[in-house]
Amino acid sequence: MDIDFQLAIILPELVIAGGVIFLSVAGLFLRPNLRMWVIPLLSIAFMLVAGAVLIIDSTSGYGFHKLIVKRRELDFFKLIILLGGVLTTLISTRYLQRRSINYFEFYVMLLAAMLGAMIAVSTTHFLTLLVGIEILAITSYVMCAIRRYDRSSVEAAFKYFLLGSFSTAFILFGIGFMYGGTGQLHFGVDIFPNGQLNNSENLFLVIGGIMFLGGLAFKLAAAPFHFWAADVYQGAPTAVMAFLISVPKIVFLVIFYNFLDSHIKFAPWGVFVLILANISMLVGNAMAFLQKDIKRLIAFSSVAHSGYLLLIVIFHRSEGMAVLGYYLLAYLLASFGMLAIIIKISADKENILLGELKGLFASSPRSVFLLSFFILSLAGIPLTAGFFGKLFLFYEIAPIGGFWIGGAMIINSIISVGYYILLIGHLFKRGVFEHSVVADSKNLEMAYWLAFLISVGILLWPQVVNTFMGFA
Amino acid sequence: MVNNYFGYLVLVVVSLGMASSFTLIAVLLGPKKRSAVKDLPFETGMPYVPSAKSVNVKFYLVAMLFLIFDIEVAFLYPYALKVKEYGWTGFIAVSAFLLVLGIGIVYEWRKKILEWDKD
Repeated sequence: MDIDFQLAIILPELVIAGGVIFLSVAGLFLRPNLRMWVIPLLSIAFMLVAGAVLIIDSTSGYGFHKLIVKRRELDFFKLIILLGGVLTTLISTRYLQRRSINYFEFYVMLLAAMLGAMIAVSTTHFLTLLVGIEILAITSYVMCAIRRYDRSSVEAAFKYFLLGSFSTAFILFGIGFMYGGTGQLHFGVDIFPNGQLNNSENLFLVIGGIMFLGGLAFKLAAAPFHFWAADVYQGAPTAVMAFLISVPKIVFLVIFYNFLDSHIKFAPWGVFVLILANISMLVGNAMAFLQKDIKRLIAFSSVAHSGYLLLIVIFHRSEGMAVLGYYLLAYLLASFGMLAIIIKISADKENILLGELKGLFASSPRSVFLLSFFILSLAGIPLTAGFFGKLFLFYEIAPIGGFWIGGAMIINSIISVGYYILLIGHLFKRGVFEHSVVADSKNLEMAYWLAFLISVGILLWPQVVNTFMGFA
Repeated sequence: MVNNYFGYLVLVVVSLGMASSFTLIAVLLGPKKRSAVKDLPFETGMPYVPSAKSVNVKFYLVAMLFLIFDIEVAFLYPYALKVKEYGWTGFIAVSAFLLVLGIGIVYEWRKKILEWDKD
């Protein structure tokens, strides 16, 4: 009996898993006033160590009988996931104290979610994938419900839980069908090098693949499977929302990419994803105009971003991963920056309406400057990281997708600028800002300045993603 | 390939048809005498409890904890069949698994979930 026991290949995941176990015990034995700052600090330390391992170890290959795959491109996505974890921890510390929900389990759950996300990214085997997705999903439900005496938070968590389990059932059913069609649980590029599943008469594959992709679209909040998104994001604690709109999006887009990369010639799935992408862009941008609550607006803009990114999943050349990575990094930084500022300006109230933003410029000009920067980055206005993301995306999809696909993306981007500009307009309205602004949180400040600096960094050196992934 | 499953489809249709026709016949033809006692919820012969508040919620917690550990320990059975084959590598792997399980118990203990006689 040979057990393919290559622990080196999952070293970053092992560090995070060790962190989960260590912190869940350490939190029990520490005194409460000590626990308050030791646990977040250690949790960030574990994420930084895992990130350092990812940066240093530039090998690639398979492990555990091809259950785990390690490639430089996938390492980059794990790195952004860890960046998302660090930023979530930074924006949560004071937030949880202020809302008196400062359970140390929150950080343990966050670390476990990182673990699930990293496993799901680094596999091309359905069962390992499912384990990763479920770890990520279950911990997300818990984090969503962390304000458990607040009705809207509990409602959001319950909706998320029900629809999440529903979509997992779809994913599992789809996997079952595909296994029936091929007798294979692998789906990697190396296993199906030339899209060998190019057999559109295989009914099991068509049904199974569409159910699988539909379930993933649920998790990605791509229209028409986006109905839970706005409600859940609105009700979830703002710090958790920042996590929910960025990290699962990275994970599920990479899964989409890995899955379709090996079977891109299998036409029915490509058509299905193309329809999803176009509906997402339209619905996300159109619905965002109608929103009064700033968190709902960001939710619908995230639906539209899912649409843009699904386009590159279908139409890409060999370096498509680098474009996806750049766009997702810019998106993650912009959404974390935005939500960090929203946490800062909503010290006394969870949900802020657009009309209530009036007079913010007078009371906190620096917040308005940063918030505008991040909003412009999401909109893709030139001289922001988001602009380069959209530009690279367009260059990648237009030569393959042709006139209509490129045109659809451009038109939708132009529509989206409308509501982003309206949002910035609200920031500069005259009046008296009625909510109190957080002034005492160094971690929160660190989070949005970090997001700002990295945004500027990737704006000045956009080639860093290519270099890391080894495309150069 | 789809044709291979045609027999299975027939089986599903026939069994569903039989089950539903038996139920339907019983509903249509059977005698019905309603009474107050018959309309009460039936709970395995126990007398009907008007309010559920008399059951301590900790029963639920303990049952759930038992279930979790029970299922996790069930993973040890396949290992027990292959102990010699897997050797020391397998032993270390299973020890790591049991360590994680043990941490679960420590967590329960420190969270005072096991002290369910206090209230």
